[in-house]
Amino acid sequence: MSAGHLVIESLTVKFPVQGKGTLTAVDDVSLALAPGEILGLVGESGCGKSTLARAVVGLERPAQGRILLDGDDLTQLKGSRRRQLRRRVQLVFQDPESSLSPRLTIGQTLQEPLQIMGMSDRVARAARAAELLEMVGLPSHFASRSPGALSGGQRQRVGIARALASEPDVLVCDEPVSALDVSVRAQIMNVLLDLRADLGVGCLFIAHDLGLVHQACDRIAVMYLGSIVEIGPSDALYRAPEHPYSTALLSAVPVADPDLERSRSRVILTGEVASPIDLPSGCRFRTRCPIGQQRCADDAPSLRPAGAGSAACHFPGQMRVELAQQTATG
Amino acid sequence: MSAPVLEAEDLGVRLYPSAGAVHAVNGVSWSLRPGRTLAIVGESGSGKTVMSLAPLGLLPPGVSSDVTGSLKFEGRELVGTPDEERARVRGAGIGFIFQDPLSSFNPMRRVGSQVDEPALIHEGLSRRAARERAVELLSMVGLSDARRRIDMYPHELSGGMRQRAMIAMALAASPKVIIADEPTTALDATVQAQILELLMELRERLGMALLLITHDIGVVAGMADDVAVMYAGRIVEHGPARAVLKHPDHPYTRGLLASVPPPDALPGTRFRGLPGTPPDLMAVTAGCPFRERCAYAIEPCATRRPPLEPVTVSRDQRSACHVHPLVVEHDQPAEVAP
Amino acid sequence: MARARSVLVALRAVPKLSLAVIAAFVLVGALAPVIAPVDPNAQDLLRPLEGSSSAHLLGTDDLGRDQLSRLMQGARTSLTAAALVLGGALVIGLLIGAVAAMRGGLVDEALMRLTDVGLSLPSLITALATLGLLGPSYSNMILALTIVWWPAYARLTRALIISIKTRPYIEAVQLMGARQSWIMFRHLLPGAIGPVLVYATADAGFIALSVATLSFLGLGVQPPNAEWGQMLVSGLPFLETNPGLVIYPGLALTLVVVGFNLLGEAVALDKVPRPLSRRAVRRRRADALDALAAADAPRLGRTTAGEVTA
Repeated sequence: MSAGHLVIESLTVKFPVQGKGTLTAVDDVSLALAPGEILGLVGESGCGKSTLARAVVGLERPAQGRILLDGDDLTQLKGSRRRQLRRRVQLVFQDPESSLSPRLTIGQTLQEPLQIMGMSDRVARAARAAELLEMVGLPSHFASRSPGALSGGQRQRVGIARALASEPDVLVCDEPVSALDVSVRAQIMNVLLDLRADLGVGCLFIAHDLGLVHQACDRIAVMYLGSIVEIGPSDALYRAPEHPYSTALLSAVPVADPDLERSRSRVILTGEVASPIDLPSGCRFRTRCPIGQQRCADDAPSLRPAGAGSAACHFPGQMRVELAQQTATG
Repeated sequence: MSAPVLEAEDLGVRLYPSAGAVHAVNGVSWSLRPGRTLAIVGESGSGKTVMSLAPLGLLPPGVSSDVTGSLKFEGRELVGTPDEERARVRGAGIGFIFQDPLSSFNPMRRVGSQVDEPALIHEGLSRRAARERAVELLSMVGLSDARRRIDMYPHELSGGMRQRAMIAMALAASPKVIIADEPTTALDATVQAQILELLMELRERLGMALLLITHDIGVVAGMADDVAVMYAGRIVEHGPARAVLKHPDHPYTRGLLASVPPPDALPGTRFRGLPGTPPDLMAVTAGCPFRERCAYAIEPCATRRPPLEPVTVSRDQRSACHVHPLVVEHDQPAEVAP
Repeated sequence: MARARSVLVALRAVPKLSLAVIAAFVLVGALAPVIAPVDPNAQDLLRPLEGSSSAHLLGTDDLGRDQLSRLMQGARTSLTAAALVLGGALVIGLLIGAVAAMRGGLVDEALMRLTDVGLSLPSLITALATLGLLGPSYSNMILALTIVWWPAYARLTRALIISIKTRPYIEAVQLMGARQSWIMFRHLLPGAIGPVLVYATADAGFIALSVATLSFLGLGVQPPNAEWGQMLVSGLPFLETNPGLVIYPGLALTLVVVGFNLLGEAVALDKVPRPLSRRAVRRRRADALDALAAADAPRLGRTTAGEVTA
C-alpha cells in the first residue's frame, strides 16, 4: 500500500455553548484522500471547514468518528505512537503572522521539529533546515532572520517548510493564501503544487476562493453547515454543480472578465444560514434553497451519486439548469 | 459631460510613523463624475486606502500625515481646509462604507440610533422623524424586518446585515459620493453578491458616484466604469474598466490579472502571478517602482520614472510604462471600443 | 512653549534617572562592607547623636554608630530581603501559574481558588498574622512576605501562558509531536517571563517598603542589624533634636520605592536602554499589557495604584 492514504469516517465535532446546548460544527463527515491527491474543501465562514481541518490534525477532539492514516486510527492512539503517527499529517496555518514564534529565528523554527524528533547533530539539523528552505523557494541565508523581517508570502513559505520537516504524507492547508496579496498567492500555490509533484505529498486544501480551488485541486468537496453537500472531480463540479448551494456559491464568485461578469445570472440566496445549535429538519440548506420543496423538510437527503460526483440533494442539477435558462433568456 | 463630483489632482500623502517617512501616495490624479463608478485597485501597501482617507482627514488618530496636491468635492478644495469645514463637506456630501462593519459601529448603541445620527445632524429632523427615516433607510438597503432590527445592537446582526446597516448609515445624509473601501472583503461570496447588487442598484436609483477601493479584480469587472490601478503609491494604469481589464498595458496590471485563476483553467496546472514582493515605501528610488518584478524591464526603467501616458487612440487608457507591451504587441495603438 | 518643551525634556530623562538611582543603591548595597567608612554596628557610646563631622559624614545615632555606614548596610539588607522575597514569589508564582495554565480543569480551578484567597487578603495583615504565628525573625519575614507576594505572579503567569498557549505557532510545535514539558520550557515560560519580570521590577520597591514596614513594627530585621525601617523607628525619639536619623532612611526608602516603580513603568513602556532589541521590548510590553488586561486579579491594581501615587 502506498503511504498517505487518509480516510475520515463519520467524523463529528461538537462544542458546548454556554446555556444553549451543543454546537455541531462538523456533522458526520466522511472523506477519503488518496496518496498525493489534492482535495479542496470549500464553504463559507462558519461551515465547519476549519474545525474539520483541526480535527484531522488532532487539535480538536472529535465526538465520534475515525481518522485513518494507512489503516491506523489516529483518534485512538496514545503516547509516543500517537506523536509519531501524528507527525505524518501536518497543518499549514492561515495567518503567517501568528504561526511563527516571534522569539525564534527562521532557522530555529525549522530545526525545532528535527530536535523533537531526536536529531541531535547540530550540523545535520542546520543542513536539513537549509534543505527545507530550498524546497519552498527561499535562500538558505533566511535561516538567520527573524519572522519580523519577512513578508507575508515569505512567512507562509516558512510555515510550509516547517510542516515539511517531519516528512508528512498529508498537508492540511487551512486557507493558506487568504491572508496574502493576490499577486503573491500564485507563488504559494505553486509551492504546494510542486511539493505534490516532487514529494508526492497529498493535501487537504481548505479555501473559500473557488477559482483557486478549481485550478489547484483534483477533487472539490463543498461544505455547508457542518456537512458535505457535494463532492466531485474539480472540473466537473466547477462547470456543472449538482447541489443548489454549490451552484449559488459558484455563481456568486465574481470573475475577472467584465463581459462575462456582466452578462451572467446569479443565484442570490435569501435568508440566513440556519443555526448549528438548532439544525432544521430535513435538508439543512432548505432555509435558503431557491428550489426547496416539502420533501426537503421531511426527508434529509444523503450524499448520492449525481453527475460525475455525489450530491446531497433530492433534485440534483435542477438549480444549474434553471440558472442556465435564466442566463439564456435574460 | 457633467462636472466631476470628486476630483484629485497631483495628490500626494506622506505618513510619518515613529521613524522616517512613508511616501504612501505620490502625484495621483483622477476624477469621478455623478452616476459613475471609479475603482481604485491595488494590493496592500499600494496606497489606495490612504489616498482616499488622508485628504478627508479620516486617518486613525495618532497617524501623522502630510497631504499635498488637491482633492476637490464639487469644486471645493479639501486639502488644507480646516477640519471643521472639511467635516461639514464630508458629512453632507460623502458617505463611507468600510471593510469591517463591526468596528465601524459603536457596539454599545443600537443600530437605529447610529443610522439616524447623520440625518439628525444634517437635516435638523425631529427625533421621531429621524427614526422613521432610519427605518426607511434600512428597508431601502434590504434589511428585512427593519422596524425590529433598528433596536438591535450591532453584534446581534450577521455580517451581511451589518454591512447593509452601514450602507444605510452612509446614505443617511443623501450623499453625492460614496467611498467604499473593500466593502465586501470581509464577507462570504454569497453575501458579497448581495451587497454588490445592492450597491449597483442604489447608485442607479440615487444617481450617486461610487469610489470603490478594492483588491478584487472580479468586483471591478462587475461594478466599475473606470479603473485606476495603483502600485507603490502611484497610478500605473488608468482607463475604462473594460479596456483595462480586457487589454491591460502595464506589466503590473497584466500580472495582477494573470494572478486571478481564469474560469477555463485546467485543474493541476501551475498558477501565474508575479515574482517578488512590493517595494519598501520608505526608500524613494528613481525609475519605475515595478521594475524589479517586471519581465519587460529595460534599461531606462532603472533611471527614469515612466509618465502616465495614453496607450490608445481614444486616449482614454493611460499607462505608466516605458515599454507599453500592449502597443508593442499590436505594433500600433490598440483599438478599444469605449 | 519653551517651558513646555523643557518639561518634556526633563520627563524624558526620568527612565534613565530612575535606572541610575536604582543602580546606585544596588552598587552601594553590594559594596557596603567594602566602602562603608566604619563598621555599621560599631558602637561609640561616648559620641551619641553627633552632627555631621569629618569622622561621621551624616553624624551618629543614639548608640554612636555611624549613620552613613548604617544607611549603606541598610541598602544591602533591604535589597537582599526584597530580592529573596521576589525570587521566592517568582519561583512559586511561575510554577503554580504554569501548572494551572497547562493542566486546566480541576487542577487549574483549585490552584486559582487558592490564589484568589491569597489575593483577597490584605497583604500586610496577612504578613503580620504569619509573623505573629512564627515569631519575628529575618527568615520568617522573608517567608511571610513570599507567602503574601506569590499569588499575583501566579495569576499573571497563568494569564500570559494561556494567551500564548493557543497561538498557532504553539499548535504547530504540538503537531510535531512535542511533549508538554518541551512546549512549557521552550515556549511558554520563556514567552511569559519577560512581562512577568517587567511587573516584578515595578513591584520590587513595594517589597522593600514592606520589609521596612515590618522591621519598623519590630517584626522583621532585628537590631542591631542595620535596616531602614528599623533605623526609622530607633530614630523617632530624636526627631526634634536629630531629624537626620529619620529623614535619611526615609529618603533612601522613598528613592528606592519610586525608583523601582518608575523603572518598571519605563521598562514596560520601552524607554530604557537595555540589551534587548526594540522589537523584543515592544513585544514584551504588548504581552504585559495583554496579560494585565486578561488577568482579572483584583490586586494587580496594587501596582497601578502605586504608579499613580508615585
